[in-house]
Amino acid sequence: MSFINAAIALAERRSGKLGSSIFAGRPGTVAERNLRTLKSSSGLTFVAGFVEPVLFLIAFGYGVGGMVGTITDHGKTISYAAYIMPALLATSAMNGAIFDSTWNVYFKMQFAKLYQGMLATSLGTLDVALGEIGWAMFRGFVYAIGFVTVVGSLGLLPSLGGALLAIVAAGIVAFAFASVGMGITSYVKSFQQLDMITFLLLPMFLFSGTLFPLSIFPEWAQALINALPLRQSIDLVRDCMNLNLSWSLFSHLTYFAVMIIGGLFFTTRRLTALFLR
Amino acid sequence: MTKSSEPELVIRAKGLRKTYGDFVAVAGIDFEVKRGEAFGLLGPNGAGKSTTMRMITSTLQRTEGELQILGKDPDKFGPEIRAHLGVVPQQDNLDRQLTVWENILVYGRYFGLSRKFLKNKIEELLAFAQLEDKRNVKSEELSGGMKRRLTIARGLVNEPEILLLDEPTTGLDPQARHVLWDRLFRLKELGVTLVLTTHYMDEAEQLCDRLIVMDKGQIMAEGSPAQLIKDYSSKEVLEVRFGSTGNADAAKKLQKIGDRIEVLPDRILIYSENGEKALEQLTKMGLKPVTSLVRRSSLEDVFLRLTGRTLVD
Amino acid sequence: MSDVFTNWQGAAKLVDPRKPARWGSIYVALARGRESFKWWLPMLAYGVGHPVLYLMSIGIGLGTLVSKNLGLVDGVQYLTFLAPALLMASALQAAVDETSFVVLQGFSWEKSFHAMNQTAIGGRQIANGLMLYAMFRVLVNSIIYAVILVFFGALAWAAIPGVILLSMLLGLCWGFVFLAFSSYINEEADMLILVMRFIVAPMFMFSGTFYELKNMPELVQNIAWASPLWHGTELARSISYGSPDPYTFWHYVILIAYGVIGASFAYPQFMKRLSR
Repeated sequence: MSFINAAIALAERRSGKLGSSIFAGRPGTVAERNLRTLKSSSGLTFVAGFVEPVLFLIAFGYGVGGMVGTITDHGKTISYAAYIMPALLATSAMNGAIFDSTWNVYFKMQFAKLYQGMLATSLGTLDVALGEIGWAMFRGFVYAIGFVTVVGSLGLLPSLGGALLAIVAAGIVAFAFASVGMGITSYVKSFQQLDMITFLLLPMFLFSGTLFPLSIFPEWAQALINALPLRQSIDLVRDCMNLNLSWSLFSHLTYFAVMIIGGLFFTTRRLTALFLR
Repeated sequence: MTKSSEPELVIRAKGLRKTYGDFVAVAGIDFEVKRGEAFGLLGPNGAGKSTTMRMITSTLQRTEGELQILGKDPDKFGPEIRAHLGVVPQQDNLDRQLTVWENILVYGRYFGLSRKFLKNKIEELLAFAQLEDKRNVKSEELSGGMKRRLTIARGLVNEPEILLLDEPTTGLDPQARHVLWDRLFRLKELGVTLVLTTHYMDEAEQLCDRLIVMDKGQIMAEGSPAQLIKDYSSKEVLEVRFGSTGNADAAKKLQKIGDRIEVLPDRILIYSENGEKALEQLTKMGLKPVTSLVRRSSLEDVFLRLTGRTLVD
Repeated sequence: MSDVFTNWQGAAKLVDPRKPARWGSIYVALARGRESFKWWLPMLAYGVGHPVLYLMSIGIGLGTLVSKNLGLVDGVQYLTFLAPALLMASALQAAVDETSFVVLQGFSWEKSFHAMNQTAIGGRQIANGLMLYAMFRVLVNSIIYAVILVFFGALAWAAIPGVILLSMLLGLCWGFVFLAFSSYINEEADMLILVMRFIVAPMFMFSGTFYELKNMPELVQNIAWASPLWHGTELARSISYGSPDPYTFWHYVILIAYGVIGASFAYPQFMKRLSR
């Protein structure tokens, strides 16, 4: 009777490779698990995620737009709805990723004891971290596609190429926020602390130039806001949407690369400390 | 392939120690587990059983000492070692959002097993756990006993060489316990090494070839259940109760009966080769216990002898 | 030293059943208070932060654009237009907070309502206790909010009592609706999240909080009649800056109708859940 099977063979193939104590090369199985949960009722809550920015766009684009008229930004004059549209796409990518990587991850970590189960198998902590964060990115993509489709039907898309590029940008934004969000969540000890994260996002949303141009603020405040991750996201998505491609794209991408790598590093380290120590 | 040249020892611990700040959970213990053996860790809550168990499952790093699982150091080769293990934790950590079937599938996928292999495997495991007609039920809707069975079935998905069970039957009704013992016995016959913790003496007696009795992070005794009973207890035990106020007075008069006595808050235990005879003697002395019971000596008595405390307190 | 056994008096002598019958709801409200007062600091931060941030960004930031383009809204400055609506929205949110997850927690997750019910406290008293504490939260929240609005010059001192009473009426009526709804949910928080996303969140966006509803198609204006927040907002505006409102009577009627319907579903369902 043989007890050696594929599991062992797989693990041994990775034996001695760099990082084999934290990585088994199978983050996909974690995302696969999440995909399966969608079939249950939480599937509807998944869809609900992209309805919110659409409603927001309609309410503010038309309701507030009726009072504001047009916006002049970077020398171009556009309708208010068209002005807030890319910013709402970036914001919803952020919100979706943060919700997944904070509330959902916290629940899985503290109540469902899911990671204990995963880490009792041959998965490593980096598999879990990458799987969860990758899932949040996937979610960001799906929301972005839904949002862009609705926006297109309202006739607010500047170009199809821009829209496609903006969807990719939204995916990157989601990846970065999920990475940092999960890193922070792994240190969180109560629901109230999670609430604080949500609360801290509010001023970022209100002041990052989502609803009005930054030009009404003094110079120093503008500089401060430009350093915030949501502002970076809005710039990236807006530039992609408007096909306004320049070297500044690279500075945004570098910013997100730092977020992604830093978040993954802290998440993996913390998961190891929490569940394997 | 399992070859005869493979190491006989699947687990080897030497001076194994785990501390949390000033608190010593496991105080430097030595033990070895052979391939195919059923090995028990016995002790009250807080004895260090679960901590030891988690170090074996490579999900807890030791503070000091040596530990080798299947010839490897769990601190360095966690995922690789865990690929050979089946883990049944003390508290079921099933995926509540998934069905019974999906729970096993997803868990098998974590090991990198193919969907094709799992499709067949899951059927076997559902039959093993008698959950065939619950396959599409969400795991959170199962009863306690079913959840336990599913957790055990899930732990077998990778056909583990070592199956680790942390209090496998806590919370199960007597019938379900016997069914589970039967299953574990058959796995042992296949050559699977079993490591289990329990605070049930009958369970340890039923399942374990060899066990260690732990208390306060230390090993108090080691041996087969029968050997331990022989060394640390007598053949039979007479339990008598004299009501909450009468026990202490009665105990003074009982010193001469049996090999030795233990006075507990609610009852007196008289250790003797012949319990009935001890009871006769006691009645002759004019003592009238409220209740009396003669039973076989068990590991509970071993534990009491070793630590001066009852096991479940 | 005394112990359980020597000090035993017996329930017949010890407990006066009239006391919990009379004060049960208060006990429940106090229990809720004890639970949530552990978080008084974040709650205070939120209570103060919310109005300040919204006023500064939407009130002043967006308001700048509005005045440049349109001038006055509804006959007043945009900030004045926005302020009473924000207060109503936050009162509604506080009431929803106290009548949503708390109910699931009590019935399903922690079963604390069942524990209360094992003592001499009944289902009706638990419902009343929750509402009592919800009203307390709304009151404290609205006082903070109103004072901040006054400091921003967005509300007159004289309007404070009226606006606060109104916010409590809104909280009470919609709170009962939510209490009833939550008590019908068995365990899945998903259901509650869906209602938050598809009913509560749109309510904040389409009740004329940030803009005049007349900017919207007629369909949206008609749907707003179903929104308690819109009724509350209209009433609050007429109290704050005296914009005449021909529908004042109907606003009150609809708000109160929500409360009566909510309560008439909530009480029986609370009893039913506990006896199951």
